[in-house]
Formats: sequence, structure tokens, C-alpha cells
Amino acid sequence: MDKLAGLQNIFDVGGFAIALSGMLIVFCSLVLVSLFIALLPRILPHSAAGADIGPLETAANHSDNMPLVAALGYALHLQQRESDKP
Amino acid sequence: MDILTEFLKNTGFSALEPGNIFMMAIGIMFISLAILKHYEPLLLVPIGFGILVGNIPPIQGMTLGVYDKGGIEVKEGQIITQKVDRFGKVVSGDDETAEKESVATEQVKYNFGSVLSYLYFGVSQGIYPPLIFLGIGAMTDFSTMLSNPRLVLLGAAAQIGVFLTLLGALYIGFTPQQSAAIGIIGGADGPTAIFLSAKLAPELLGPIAIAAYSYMALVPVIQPPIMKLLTTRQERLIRMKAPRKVPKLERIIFPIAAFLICGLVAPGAIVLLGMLFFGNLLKESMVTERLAQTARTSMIDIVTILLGFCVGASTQAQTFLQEDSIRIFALGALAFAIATAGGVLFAKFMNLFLTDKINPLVGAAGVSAVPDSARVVQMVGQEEDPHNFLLMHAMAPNVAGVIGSAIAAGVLWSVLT
Repeated sequence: MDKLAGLQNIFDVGGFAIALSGMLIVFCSLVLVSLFIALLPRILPHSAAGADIGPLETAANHSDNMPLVAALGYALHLQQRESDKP
Repeated sequence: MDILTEFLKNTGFSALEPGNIFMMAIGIMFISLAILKHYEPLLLVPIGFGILVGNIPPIQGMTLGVYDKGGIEVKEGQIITQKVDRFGKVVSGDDETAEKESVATEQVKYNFGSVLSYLYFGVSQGIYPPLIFLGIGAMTDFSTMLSNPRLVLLGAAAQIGVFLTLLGALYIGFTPQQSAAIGIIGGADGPTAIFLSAKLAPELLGPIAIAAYSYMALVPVIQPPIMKLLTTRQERLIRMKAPRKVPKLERIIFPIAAFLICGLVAPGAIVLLGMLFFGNLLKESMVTERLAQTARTSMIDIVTILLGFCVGASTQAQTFLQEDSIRIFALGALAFAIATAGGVLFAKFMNLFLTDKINPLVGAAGVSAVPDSARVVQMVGQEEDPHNFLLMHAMAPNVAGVIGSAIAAGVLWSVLT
């Protein structure tokens, strides 16, 4: 640690410039990312943006979670049937 | 009797200093907090045990600790050489058999380092943090951020903690490189803090890593008072719209496009962000499920173990217990508090212009610390309204904070190298 301390130390190394420009770059990057995300649904063709694409859907069907999903679906169905009884 | 005296001299007790005992107590405290209070157990157990290992006094002449590195032996400016046989075994100058058989060759004398020093190489050279980012990318779902792009700005606002702390550290006399490494604690991202510290201020790596991980573990303690102080009850009761369902194609395009944007704006961040977005692409593409699975499970676990343990082992009392370490801990707490306040206040500022109001508590999640700070937002929000579910909304600034802190680290690295 330097012995020199205080505001003078910040001025000597251009501390305010580093902090301001750093903050600006972080903000600019994330503003650009934010704008891109906001524009993405408009850029993409509506059909592609609105639905999952085919081959990926097929891959998802082979997930290890399928038995669990089936069990949950069955349980919900039973619950629904119980609640529908007069 | 002499043998017994010699043996006792070689035990750890003879060289144990009060500082080592103090550090061991801290190590045990970390382990206890992890086991009893469940504070970041995946980090605090390896770090805590590493502290215990690092503070056993080494036997003189043995290479044991993380700082016992190997290298070529140099004496009075001259590189030392030695004769070795064909098996690499050192032979003395009067070994006639070896000389006669012409199997002894002259080579530079190289001292091998300790095992811990080789494991620590991944920390000191910043190898482990990008690998952890790969795992984080493979387990992160950016959907909530994609469904509400406004919340990305909260992740940027929270980075004010990094830069204001940098100024604070400069003010009290740290060098610009040290100040940047201390400031990044405010990013609340352990791997990023270690990465930048390894690059800019390796001499402060131990205290910075311990401070960063300690404060990450203490997110549920540090953040709520600041969040409550800066918000009214009405603001904490704000309910936000449910996030939209994000199509698969958007989630696949996002890591590629976001990396290109961030990488071109801040090239210093490509190491961390490249791995983060690459990991996310492995997850979202669905055609590399095996790789994504490895990255988010086995690989990140192995690297976390090595990183935590080595960071803990680097906290030898003789190097760790310095006045600077106390300053770093104080500045780290300040960085965390400013970052939390920055996110909350920026959310309030955004609400001045928005019709669909943001719950300002969500801003606190901009400090990254995934997913703990998002959980804290959920917890504080539900104290006011048990039916208000802020977790999904808080994940957006949370992951944006990870990106923001990596960009901040990249910028500081490139400016101050």
C-alpha cells in the first residue's frame, strides 16, 4: 500500500476517470444487451419466435424427466377428477 | 533424548504462532457456519478446511505450503547445475561408476514445488474462475431476463459498488491495481474477484477471496436491512407481471449475440464471458446435453473443491494477518452495501418513468451472488406480502449482475494492466 493517501492519490492515478469510464462501459454493454433482447422477438419471424423448433423438441422428448412428468400428469388428472365429483 | 528433542522440533506445535491459532479458529467457524447454519456450505466447507491445512506450520526444508513453488535454483546470479543419471537421479561428483559408464549428464537444478502449490497454480493464474463460469453458464436459465429486458439495467446499476469502492481504496492509499481488485468484491462474485485479483494484485489474493466469499455467504444478513431502509412498505408490496414464455430460438440466439456485444464493447471480459455464454449455449442448444451436464455438475464441483480448498490454504497467518486485510474486509463490506443500495435506488429511479412498476427490492439482486440475492429478495418481499413471488423477477438482474461484474472486471483488467 502506498503511503500517499487521500483525494490527491485518486487524482494522481486518474481514479475518477477510471471509475466513470468503467461504469459507462458496463452500462453501455448491458444497455445494448437489453436493447437486443427487447428487439429479438420483433427481429425473429413470428412463427419461429412463437414456437419451439422441431429437432430440439424431439431432443427434449428424450429427456430423463419424462417418467416424472407422466407421473405428475397422472396425479394432477386424478386430483382434477376428484374435485369434479359432485 | 536428542532424537526425541529433534522430533519435537519438527512437530507443528513448536512453530505454532498465535496467528495460526486465530486462523484455525476462523476455519472452524466457517465449517460450523456451513454445517449448522447452511451458509454457502459448498464454499465454506472447502475454504474452512483449507484454512486449517494452510495454518499448520511447515517443517523447515520441506515444501508443503501453497507458496512453496518450484523453479530453477539460482545462487549469486548463477544458475546451479547438477549431474543426474539416466533415471534422473542426482549423482555426486565422485560417483565413478556413473562417470565411467557415461550415463551422468549435467543439467539445470530444478526444485519441485509442493503439491499444494501446483493446485494453487489454478488460482494464481486465474484458471479456475473461467471454468466455474462455464459451469454457471450451463446451469443458468436466462429466460426471466429475456422476458423482461428492463431488469438488465439493474444488474448494471449495482456495479456502482465496484467503482465507488475502487475510489475508496485509492483514497486510503492502495495502488490502482490493488484498488480495482478490492472494488470487484462489490460484484459479489467470488470467481470474478479471484480472477481479477490474480491478474492485478496477486499479493492480496487471499484476503480478497476470503472477503468475497464471506460476504457472499452473508448475503441474507447484509442485504435485508439496506433493502428495507431504502424502500417504503408500498414499494415492497408492488406486484410485477408474470414473465412471458421465451421461445427456444431466442434462448439459443441470446448467448451468441450477447457474447458478441459484450466481447466487442469490453474485450477484457472475453475470458469470463466467453466461458459463461459458451456454457449457456451448451445448455440451450439441446444437442450437447452431455457436455452441459458435465459442465454444470462434475466439472464445476471439482473446480469448486480445488478453488475453495486452495484459497483457504493460502491464508497462512504470516501472510494473511496484515493491516491491509482488515482494510480489505471493511472496503468489501462497503462495496457490498453500495452495490445493494445502487440496485434498489436505480429501480426506484426507473419507476419514475415506467407505467408497469418494478418492485425496488428486485434491484438488490443486481449484485449477482447467484442465486442467494434473488432468494433474499423473495424472502424480504414475502415478509410484506406472502403471496408476492419475486424470485423469478429477481433472477433477471441477478444473472445480469454476473454479466455486469465480469464486464467490470474485464474493463479494469484491460485499463490497469
